[in-house]
Amino acid sequence: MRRDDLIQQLAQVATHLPPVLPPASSLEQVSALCTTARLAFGAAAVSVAALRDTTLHYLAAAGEGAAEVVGMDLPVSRGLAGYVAMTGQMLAVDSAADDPRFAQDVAERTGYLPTSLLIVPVRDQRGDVAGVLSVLDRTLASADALVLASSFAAQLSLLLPGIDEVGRMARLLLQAMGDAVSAGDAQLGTALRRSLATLPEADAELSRIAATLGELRAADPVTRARVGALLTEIVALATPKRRR
Amino acid sequence: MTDFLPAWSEPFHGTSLGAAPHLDLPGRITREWAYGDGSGRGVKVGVLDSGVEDGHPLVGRVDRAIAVERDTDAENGIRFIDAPHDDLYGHGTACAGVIRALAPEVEIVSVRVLSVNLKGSAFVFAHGLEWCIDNGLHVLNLSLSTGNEDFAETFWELLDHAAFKRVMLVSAMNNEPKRSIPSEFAGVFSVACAPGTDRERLWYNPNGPAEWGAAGIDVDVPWSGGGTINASGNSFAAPVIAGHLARILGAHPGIAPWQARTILAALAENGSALD
Repeated sequence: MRRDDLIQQLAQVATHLPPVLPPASSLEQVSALCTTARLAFGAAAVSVAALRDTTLHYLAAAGEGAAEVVGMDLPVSRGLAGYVAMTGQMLAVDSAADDPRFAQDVAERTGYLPTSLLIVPVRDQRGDVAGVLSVLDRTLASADALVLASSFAAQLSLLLPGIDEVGRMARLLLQAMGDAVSAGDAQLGTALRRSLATLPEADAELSRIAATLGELRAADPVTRARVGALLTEIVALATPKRRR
Repeated sequence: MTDFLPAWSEPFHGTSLGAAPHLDLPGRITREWAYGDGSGRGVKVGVLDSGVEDGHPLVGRVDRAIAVERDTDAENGIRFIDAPHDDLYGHGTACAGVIRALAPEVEIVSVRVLSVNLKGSAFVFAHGLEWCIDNGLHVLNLSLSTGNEDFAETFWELLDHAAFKRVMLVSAMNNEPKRSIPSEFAGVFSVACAPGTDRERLWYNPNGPAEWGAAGIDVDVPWSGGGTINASGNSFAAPVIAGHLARILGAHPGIAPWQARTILAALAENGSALD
């Protein structure tokens, strides 16, 4: 096999592998943090969303409406969390329904309409907004809640960027390899960089499905086997031409 | 004697120079002298933002609305739509409302350069700013900035252009600790949040890069749909300074940015003006 072909195949594997191998430990930590935060705030619900370009992707939640919230994608132009993501300013609202920025229809979809909201931005190391932490209907006194929310946001600052980095693993890998070998083997370095330039973006939908399937880690082997069989059926139904 | 004049010397040889901007300082500056009737009458204020809601109870009339958009068919890649428009988010309405509250008789010109998610390109922003400078506006509120280094020189040139046209640029510092163009340039009145919610108070910081401080934390501002919100951010502090400048320009039309700075610094909480 030619070296260029091999590199191209490596690149494809590196592109398509991360979405089906979600960073379980990081996501689980974010999920656990939501549960802890909910208890600490005495809140009805807590959620964490990652900012991806102009979309907030809800990674984890605990409490009211959590099952409906996780996996949700919302444009930053909608809702109070989007406002925080766009402006980078933390926000405390006592009566969400009275605030024109509040996306009531989205809240209704989760089955829970909050009265108060505390939303803080999560920043990456460069100071850019990487996501938001939302606390719904807290019972903790305001001053303490602000300090606590900042503390949770600081923890999330360490977790959120890493989750998205996995999705860019192929790029990082090829970039690092290209840089490493270019001194000794300029031709190989050029080939690696050429692959990097033509690399497709990872499939966001596939990532979402993979993340959902990741929840099967908590299931017992029998359940996993059943879900596996069911999935095979579904994939067969979804791709009839390939089966012929 | 020689007839040869070094470049740029012509204005000082002949009759084209005109009078220097007139500003008789009254000794110690007083608020009454600085603001006159405080109406901002005759002052055109541009709000470069997401649009401004015409007729909002706390904003009133929008005198002109220009939407700046990319146009790949146009020669320079840009088009200006001179027609009434909506505020795509509410942010521009908030800024316009703060200015209107401080200087009730200013003319407000909405220059829409941001989209529904408060994003915009530095290219569109720069063209919007150039339009304002070339179209006789006096004070510009820029509650936005870009981190795009490629446009730093473009904004420097626009700032110099504005200075010699005596256009006051008021620019909010970014809410995040990162590059903030043109807010961090000395040619603008750069603004960040000071304590409290009283918009009559302002502070001067000679050390920069946030040169002016004004109320912007937990402040009530108008929003799209005729209502208000409570919000925080440097975006809402900048129009306070724009409003004060509009009052000053209403009382002292034609003054240069450096003269306006002198008056504004005297009016600051840490300044020397008399009540």
